[in-house]
Amino acid sequence: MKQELEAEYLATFKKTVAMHEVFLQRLAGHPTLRNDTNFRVFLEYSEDLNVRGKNKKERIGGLLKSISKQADEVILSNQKDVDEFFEQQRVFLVEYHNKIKDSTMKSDKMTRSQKNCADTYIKVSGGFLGLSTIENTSLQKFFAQIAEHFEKARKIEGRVASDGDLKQSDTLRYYLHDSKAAMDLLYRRSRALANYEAANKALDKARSKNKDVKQAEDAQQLAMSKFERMSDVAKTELTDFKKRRVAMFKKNLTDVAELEVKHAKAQIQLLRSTLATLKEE
Amino acid sequence: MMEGSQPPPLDDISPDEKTNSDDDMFTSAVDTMQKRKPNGIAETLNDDDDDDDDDEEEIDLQGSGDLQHHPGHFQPSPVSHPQLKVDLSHSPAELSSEPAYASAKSDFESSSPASLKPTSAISSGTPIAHSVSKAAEEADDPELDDESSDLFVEIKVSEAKKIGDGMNSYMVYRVTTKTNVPAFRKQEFSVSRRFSDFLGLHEKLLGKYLTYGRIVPPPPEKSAIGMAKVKMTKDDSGALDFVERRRASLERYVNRTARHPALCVDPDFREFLELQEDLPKATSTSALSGAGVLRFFSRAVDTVGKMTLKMDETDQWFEEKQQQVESLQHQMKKLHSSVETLVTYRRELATNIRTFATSSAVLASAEEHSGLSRALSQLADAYEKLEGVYGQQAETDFYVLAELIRDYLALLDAIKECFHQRVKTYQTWQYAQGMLTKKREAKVKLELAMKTDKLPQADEEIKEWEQKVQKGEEDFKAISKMVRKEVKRYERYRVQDFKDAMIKYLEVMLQGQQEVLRVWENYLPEAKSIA
Repeated sequence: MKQELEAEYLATFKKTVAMHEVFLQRLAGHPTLRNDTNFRVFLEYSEDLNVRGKNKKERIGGLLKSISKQADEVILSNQKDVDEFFEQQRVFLVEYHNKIKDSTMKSDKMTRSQKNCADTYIKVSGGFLGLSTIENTSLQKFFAQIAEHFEKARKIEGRVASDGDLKQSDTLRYYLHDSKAAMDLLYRRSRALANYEAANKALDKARSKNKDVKQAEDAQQLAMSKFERMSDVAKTELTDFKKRRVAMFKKNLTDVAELEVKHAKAQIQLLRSTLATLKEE
Repeated sequence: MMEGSQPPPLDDISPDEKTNSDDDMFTSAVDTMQKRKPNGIAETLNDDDDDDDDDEEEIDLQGSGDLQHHPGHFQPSPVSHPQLKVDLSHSPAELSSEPAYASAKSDFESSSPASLKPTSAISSGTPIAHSVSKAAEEADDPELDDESSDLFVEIKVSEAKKIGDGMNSYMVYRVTTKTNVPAFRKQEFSVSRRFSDFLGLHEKLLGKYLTYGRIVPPPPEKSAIGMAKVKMTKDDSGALDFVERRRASLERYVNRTARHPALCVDPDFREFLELQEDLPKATSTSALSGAGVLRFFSRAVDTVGKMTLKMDETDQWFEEKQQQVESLQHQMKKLHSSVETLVTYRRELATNIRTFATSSAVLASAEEHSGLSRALSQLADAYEKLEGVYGQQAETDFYVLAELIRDYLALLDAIKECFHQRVKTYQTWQYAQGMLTKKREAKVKLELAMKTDKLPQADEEIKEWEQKVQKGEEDFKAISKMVRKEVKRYERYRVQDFKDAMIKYLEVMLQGQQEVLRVWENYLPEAKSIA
């Protein structure tokens, strides 16, 4: 019993740790973000970081912001982008995001089912053990061995479930969030574009009215430079996103396959040995 | 084993040996038999393979007349071991297959002509049985050695077909038998039967054998929900799960009954397997019939009786066995529920794998990187294959494990019935004993009161009750012995069945895991090759 709890704790721990690691590695791999002071402090400061949790005000503020953002997104989603690349990216990302959400959910369901199966093994093992204690025939030893088998099999099945969860589901989940982040980027860019266009219009209006021209020009310049800079960075980021995605999936799918092979082999080994012991009775 | 056997010459059996206390019940039957044609009997024994219908017919009529007078004694089975599969070293026992028919042939009105052949054996059966029983109680143990014989009965239930429409529809199953037991007319034959026929067979067997303490295997349960599903759906594919499950449990039921040496050659059982026409509708098995209601009431009375009936158990063996049966039932129920949970979860797992596979395929189509896209679609394929493996695993979990445990739970109930029968027999005996004492007391009172005219009547009554006491005691001894034997037999089969089932289960799992391994090993290079 204690062992099972330990194993479960270990599995959850591994998962959380892995997630953190991926996050940090991503930051470190990013040419700009890796030099961020906050990041540096996080990695180097030897004392405890006192990170204040969001108080109520900040939380409500965050909630309102997200609502307004969503509304904005809807408005902006109708904006057709001139740039082919970005348009393509947007279409792709939206579709991808939805599909990966579906996959993540199903993968979670699957690993949960697997875990349920593995956990039921404990009950079955207990049942057989109960039977073996009241038996007085040769079935006693037989049942005891079966009970043991189910115990061991449960461990392996449990590991299959948790590894599947770790590698596969979490990868999918990560890319679910990452694609959301990419979409956010695009959103910010389209926001900038909208601002740019609004600034253009304001400039034209100001020029036609001949009032506050300088101001409008400045604003327009600002918006334009912001937009262009954003576009450039976004381009690199998105290509990078694709590369990273492919690499991460490759790594994790390979890992999943390798672990599954390992577990299947272990199961086969266990089954063979149990069969051998039972048959020679 | 049977071919070269020579029956012992009947002259060896002298009248003194017949008074062996173990076979009191045969004494009268054997006596009457001996008065018939011993030679004729010897003849039939000698040609046990090529039977002369005339001879048998004659002996049959004589035999039937006789044995019917001794219904209580007809059951030579405790000693005559209707063992189709027995391989006894001593020759008299080799003929034990003949007495098999003897024990089975209780209703002489049975229509099947096949009964003629076994009937002939009755006459030969009892004296031989006698000598067999004489050969020490070891006749008991070799009987248990069922496996070492060439005789087998293999029954398959298949082709569930729906007959009729709507509310009056029902399922019909094809029952195919392969056997080399001589009791049957042919070696291979098949008939159509419906579920109520199976239940009717069980009722008949129960009626005949339960009072003797035999364990009659229970049939699968009725299911109103399942049948409603069958009746309500238009075509055959409506309630496939239910029908398949019922078919499998009917097959197990029939094979288990055939495994029992006495039940296998029972004429009702043989008729069930052989008679080409439809059996008369077993209306007594339907829930709403008059007989059904009667049965319900009698069962209620019985249940109350079970709680109040107490018996001073003098036999340690029975006490132990009863406790064992109780605790076994308790444990099995627990195991059964956890196995059923496993089945449910595994089925769920298979479904979820399939949904994931489709989702993964969809994701693959959305993925713009071609290498990753291909890898994802192959992942979808791999998971589809896995779904097949796990689906099959769930089916094995169910049919090999869960259903077996359920069958044995039902069988344990049947065993409890047997024990209960024994207690009832004891009760009857004790009651007779009580009555006898009362009558004796009454007689003494009459003597004291000098009412000599009522004395002869009192004597009559005392004699009557003395006989009943004796019979009660004999019955009780017989049933105790039978129950012991049956339980031993059942135990052996239980051990064997469970061992076989578990090994089969593990083997299927092994295959499944090997398949899983193959799937993932194939996938691995694909994953690695993502550009």
